[in-house]
Amino acid sequence: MAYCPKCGVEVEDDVKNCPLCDFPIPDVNEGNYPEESKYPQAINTYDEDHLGKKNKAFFSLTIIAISIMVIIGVIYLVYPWNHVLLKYIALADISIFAIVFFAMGYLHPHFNFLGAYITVVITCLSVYLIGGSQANWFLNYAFPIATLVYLDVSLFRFIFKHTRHKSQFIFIPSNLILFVIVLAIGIDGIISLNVQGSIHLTWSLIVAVSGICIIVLLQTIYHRIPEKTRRMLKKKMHV
Amino acid sequence: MEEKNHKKKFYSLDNAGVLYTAIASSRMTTVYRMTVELSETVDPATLQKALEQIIHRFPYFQVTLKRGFFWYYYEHTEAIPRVEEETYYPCKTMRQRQGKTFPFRVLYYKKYVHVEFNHSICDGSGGLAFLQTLIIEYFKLLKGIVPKDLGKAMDIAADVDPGEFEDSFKVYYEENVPPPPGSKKVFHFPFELLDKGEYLLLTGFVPVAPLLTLAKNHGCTLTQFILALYFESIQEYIMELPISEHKKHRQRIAINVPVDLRRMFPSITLRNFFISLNPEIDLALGYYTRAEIIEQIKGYMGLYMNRKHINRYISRNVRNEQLIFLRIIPLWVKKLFMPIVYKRYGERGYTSGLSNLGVVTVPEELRPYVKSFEVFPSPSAESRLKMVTVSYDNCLALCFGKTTAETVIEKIFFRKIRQLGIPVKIETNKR
Repeated sequence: MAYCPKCGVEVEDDVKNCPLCDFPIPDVNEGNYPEESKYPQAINTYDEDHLGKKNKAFFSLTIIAISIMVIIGVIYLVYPWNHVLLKYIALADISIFAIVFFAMGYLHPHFNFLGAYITVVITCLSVYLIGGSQANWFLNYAFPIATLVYLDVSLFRFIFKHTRHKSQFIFIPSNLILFVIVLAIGIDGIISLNVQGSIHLTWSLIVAVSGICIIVLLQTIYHRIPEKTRRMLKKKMHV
Repeated sequence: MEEKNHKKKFYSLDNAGVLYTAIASSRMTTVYRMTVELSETVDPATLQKALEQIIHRFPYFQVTLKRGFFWYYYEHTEAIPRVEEETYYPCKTMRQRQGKTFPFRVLYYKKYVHVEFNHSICDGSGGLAFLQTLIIEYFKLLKGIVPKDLGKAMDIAADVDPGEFEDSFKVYYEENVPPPPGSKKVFHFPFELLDKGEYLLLTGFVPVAPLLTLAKNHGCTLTQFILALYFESIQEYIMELPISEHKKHRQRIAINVPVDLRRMFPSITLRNFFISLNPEIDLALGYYTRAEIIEQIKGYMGLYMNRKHINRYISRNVRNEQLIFLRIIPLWVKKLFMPIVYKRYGERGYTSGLSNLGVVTVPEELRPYVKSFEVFPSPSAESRLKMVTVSYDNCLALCFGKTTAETVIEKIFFRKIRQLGIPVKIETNKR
């Protein structure tokens, strides 16, 4: 019989460390016990089961996407219909499929986000080329805004990863507000650059200032005002 | 159907089963486990034969879960369940495959027989009746022992009583009883969760007699005494936290205690029939001594453990189930929202659970062959640590089931029992 010297509880003979406090249990009998453990080395089947379900869903989606492409292709070749519209439908089919693929998380999260970004850019470029508009909206607006959102999401993910185990009521709102501020400044900058030819921030500054105030407030609640400052405030603000 | 009128084809879920199937997921599997340790290595072929012999006595368990448009339901199946060697984590999620899967599984490993039941089909009391019947039949086939007194086990030659699969919640439901007061937010263990699909078990075996004496000295029952020790352990854990942390956690501690209603109502059902009470202590009011906690629990149980109060819970639950606009929501929508609603309103109200299944007996002739009984709770994400106690042959098994690797609460709890001068033996599946 083996006992944990710290907890005082009896443990199974083949146990090396106490199951309660992890304290190493001295091997007093110095004998080799037969493998007598009560439970087998368990296998976790969750990942396998989960992947199986995901593959099934992805397979059905692939079939649907491919059949739409085939139908569109046949109509394009055989039936003289609105060709531009058909191109749009085919493009939508491919890009939705690509986005769903990245959303299902088969790859590493970094590559999924990058893939989604590239899909959006390529889709915009294709729409631009199919539509053939005079204004250069792709280079002026679509590409910068897509890049901005991508960088902003990356920033958000980076900060979220490092703060996720802290108080969710403080850090998730702060991070979201930071995300919105960066997005607002970027969009304001892009619009003013295109309309006026230079970066001239207006409404985004209001968003930024009020947002930063809220972040500071939330962080102060979390970290507390330092004792010295608090004493000073108490003296100055007494009523 | 025509051969015997008790062989129903279709079983609608009972009141608790409706909830359990809606909230089931790969983490909250709603599967609980019962373990029996035999004196010799299990013979799988005999166990399989015993299972085949007894399954006809339990037609309401020989079913398979199916999706209806509005609710799940159980349908009779002619398939025969198979015993398997234990290879996976305990209380693994139960997949539903058309007509092939059962709401329970029988596992064996070395000297142990495990029966895992989906909580949507029956509660611990029904599950134990099944397990006891299985054990008796196993030894009848293996050693030719025919016990005289079956105890709580079923006689497999007898006819099925329709009362065994009735939904007793509906039977004892009374209209126009006002609902009980709502639950308040309580302390939850801030431990990190294990990976999905993993589940840890930890059992402490203690002798019943010294604990019972101590409980008598305090003027309470055994369950109340263990409950008080458990409360005390959680309180001690919070008090030992660093000062900034423990100020934040100075909240209520509530423990969910299921009450077996078969003792209160004349029901013989093997399906779910229990209601949970939530005794609590409020740490914002200060530190509680053991005597104070026991007084608190005794007072709470005295006030609320009676037919009138329990009726309020039954009525609320049945009424909620019968709400017409809840019923007409399609199942997939229910499946989407019920886990969130349950997390918000169901599990918010308690820190942990403690369920006492009382004394399990086997017929006198089998006593030398059956060494111990254990019952483990179903895994849950919000209350990461739950306990079930069951006693057999003057030995009390305190069985923890947990979805976290942290052992601090059990450490405090079992050290407390050691300090009372009671020997403890620990067994776990953690490696």
